[in-house]
Amino acid sequence: MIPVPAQKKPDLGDMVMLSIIIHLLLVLLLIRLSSQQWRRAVTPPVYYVDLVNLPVAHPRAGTSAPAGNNRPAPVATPPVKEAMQLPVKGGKVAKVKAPSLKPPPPRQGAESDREFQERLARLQRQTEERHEASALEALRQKVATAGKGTGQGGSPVANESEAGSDYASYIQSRLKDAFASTIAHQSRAPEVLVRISIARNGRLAGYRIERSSGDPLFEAAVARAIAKAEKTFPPPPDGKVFEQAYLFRPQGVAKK
Amino acid sequence: MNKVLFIMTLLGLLLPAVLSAQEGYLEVTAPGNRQIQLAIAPPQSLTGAAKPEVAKEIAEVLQFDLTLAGPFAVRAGAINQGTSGIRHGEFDFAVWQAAGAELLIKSGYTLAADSVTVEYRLYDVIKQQELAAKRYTGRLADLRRITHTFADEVLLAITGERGPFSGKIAYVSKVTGNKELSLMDYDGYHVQQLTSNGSINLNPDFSANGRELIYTSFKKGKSDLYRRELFTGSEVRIASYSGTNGFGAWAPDGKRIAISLSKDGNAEIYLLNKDGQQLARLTTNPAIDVSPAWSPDGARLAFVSDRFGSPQVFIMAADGTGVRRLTINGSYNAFPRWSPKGDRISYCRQQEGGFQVHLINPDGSDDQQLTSEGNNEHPRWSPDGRFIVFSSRRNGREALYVMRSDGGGQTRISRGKGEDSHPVWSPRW
Amino acid sequence: MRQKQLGYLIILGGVLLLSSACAKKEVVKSEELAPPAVAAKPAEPVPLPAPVKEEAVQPQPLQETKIAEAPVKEEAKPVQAEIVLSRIAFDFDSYILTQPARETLKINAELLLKNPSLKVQIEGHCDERGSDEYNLALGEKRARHALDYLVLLGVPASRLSIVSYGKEKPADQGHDEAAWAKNRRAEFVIMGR
Repeated sequence: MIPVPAQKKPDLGDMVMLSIIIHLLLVLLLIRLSSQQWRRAVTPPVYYVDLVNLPVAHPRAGTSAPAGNNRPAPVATPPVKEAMQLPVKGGKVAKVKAPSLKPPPPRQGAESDREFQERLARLQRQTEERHEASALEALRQKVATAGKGTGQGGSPVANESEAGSDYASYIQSRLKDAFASTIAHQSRAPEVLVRISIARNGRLAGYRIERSSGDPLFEAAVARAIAKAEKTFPPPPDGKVFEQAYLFRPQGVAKK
Repeated sequence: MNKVLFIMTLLGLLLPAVLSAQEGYLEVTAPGNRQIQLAIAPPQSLTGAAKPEVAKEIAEVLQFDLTLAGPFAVRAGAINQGTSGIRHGEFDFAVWQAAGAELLIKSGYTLAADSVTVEYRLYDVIKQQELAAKRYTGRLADLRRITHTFADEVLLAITGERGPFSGKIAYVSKVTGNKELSLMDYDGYHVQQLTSNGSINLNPDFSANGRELIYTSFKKGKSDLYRRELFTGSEVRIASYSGTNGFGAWAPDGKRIAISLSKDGNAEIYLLNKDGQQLARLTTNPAIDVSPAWSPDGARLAFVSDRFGSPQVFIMAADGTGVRRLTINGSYNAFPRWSPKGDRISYCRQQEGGFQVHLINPDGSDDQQLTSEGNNEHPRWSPDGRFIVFSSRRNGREALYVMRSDGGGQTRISRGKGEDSHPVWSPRW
Repeated sequence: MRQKQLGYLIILGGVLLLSSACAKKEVVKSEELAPPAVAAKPAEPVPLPAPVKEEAVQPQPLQETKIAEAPVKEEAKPVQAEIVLSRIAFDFDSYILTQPARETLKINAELLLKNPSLKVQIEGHCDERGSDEYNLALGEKRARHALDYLVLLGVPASRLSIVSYGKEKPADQGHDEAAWAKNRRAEFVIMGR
């Protein structure tokens, strides 16, 4: 019998560390990928809605996770499978719940393994630098907010009511459904940014193309999606005219 | 453990802090690339007696053209209460929308003694908007052509670029037993024989304005280059240098012709003016250099050479400098043709069982095989770059086929019994 | 034949003339439209293009066709001759003279030297595989190599000429290896005295 070399059992603390680092990197990678679009975005009236339905990010992260406290009061609109329809954020959170020591697969398969490793390394360097500076500042904030007893330490600043953001994501889901039945394009990765206004009665007050794709076939598909989705729009909350920018693009197509 | 806590805290703090930078828009994505549901309402008689053949022909041509185009799932035929009027407001969009249509073509015709007037209207059913409306008057015999012209307009309205359906295809037909030049609609109708010299006539190529053809013929005993004025039939032999005068390729500027000549002992590529006088010699090589094909800007030429042993496609500048091998794989590559947008080059690679049409980028990347059946030769682009017309022996006799530039929709267009080859798609007349 | 061609040209000309003349540029008037029910913009008037844009082309009376198909010039023509020169075969995509080909050429050279008045055109041919134009060039190389070898054997170059038919004149219409082997050849056609 050949003796099996005794494997060195990894220390629990190391494991946890590694897991956390990977999650951190993942989040940062995600942020970085998304922020490339944000830079081109027009200033918005509505803050993000994607985290609305997220569960607590990590059981042991306790109050520092943003989700639970952030959940808006239930609105009349049904919670149309939002968690499922937000592939980016939803997917990542799912991974947080099931930690794995393997490096996560590249997003959408858009980059090769090598590129991914390079990106990881780059991100790691950047985060390390940022950490030192932000850690102190963040801790200070934490202490300050904790004093107020809100339990919302570090949660983002909202400009609009939570109900408004939920309405925006509801409209987003209606647009998504309609878009799935109209999408057509002849260029490889078209993107159209459309600002949609919804009148107080829930009818489409108008829309404006803020950034064109130069692909008429795609533009027409977006227009048809909006026309189709309009029939399902409920009136905006608070009796206000609703305005929001939406970026239409084909799913799974690598960004330019 | 302190470290762990520190990092956990950091994570908790950092995540929302960075996410709060998310501003702007919400993303709306959808998978795939759907076809647009396009309905063709039965063409109606606007005034006077109805003629079912006319209605049938209009609907058939529209269906054939727009199905081939790619972006549309075309359905022709009536639906309940769908046939009242062709103008906006004269019919109910709801019934078409209920039938699943997103686009709708309504058309109507009026027959006169020797002419027909056809009115076509393209609607967006969802937005209930008219996208294009045209009226044409012409001979009844031109009904197909008129309808092709409107199909071109539909593509313009929907994709931003006019279609090529009203163009003609010149080609070599063996229906008489000899290889003679012929001309036909792109879908195989209205065949007109252009030559009848009983010899071998090959490789027609349209001038930039579509009014002239050059072609290679053996009618005076050896292969020479001829130029023919299409609408008058007058023609002149422009290149009859000693040895073989190969296939001519008209430059996009319409002033130069690239051709391979063996007058200096071996097939080399030359530039001639349109009267056949030599402007330049581009290659000097003991190997065979043939089949020049212009880039759309006229600055470069692709050509075939066996200078490294087997026929391969090369690229050079239009002054003969900067020769570079394009095709690396395969032991026999030929028939290069540059796409009208300049981004792709079609060519044929010989494999088990025959030639297959491929596309490749001018830098040699992204090689893509489009055909897989039978022997396929002579690929040529439609002037808008949407389609490739080629000859194929996939069903025995050599016949002409057309496909989209992604290889989709391969459709036989030859309708005759002869063998057809050497197609070329005319620019818009 | 010329009549028929004339007919085609007249038809072609007629089509163009009629369609360019008859196709009127009309405008589909927007006021014809009933007001749309929902938020649709009024349809914009669309100028109609003529189906035929090439209005400048005036089909000419067709006297030009005279030049169009000039009769084949009386150049050298094959003649019946008392001797037969055997053809030679080549390998695929090759113009190298094989050993059997060189033997055949020696016999042909002797025959030509015995009949010093005969002129011969050497035709180069290819099988159907490969591109038409490449094969034109390849056929010419085959013919030229045969010519060079005959000259080497003493036949005056002035009595020899070459032409290439590429794959256009197969000896065997088949599509198999046997047919292809027969078609990769050079033929010797006696053109006169």
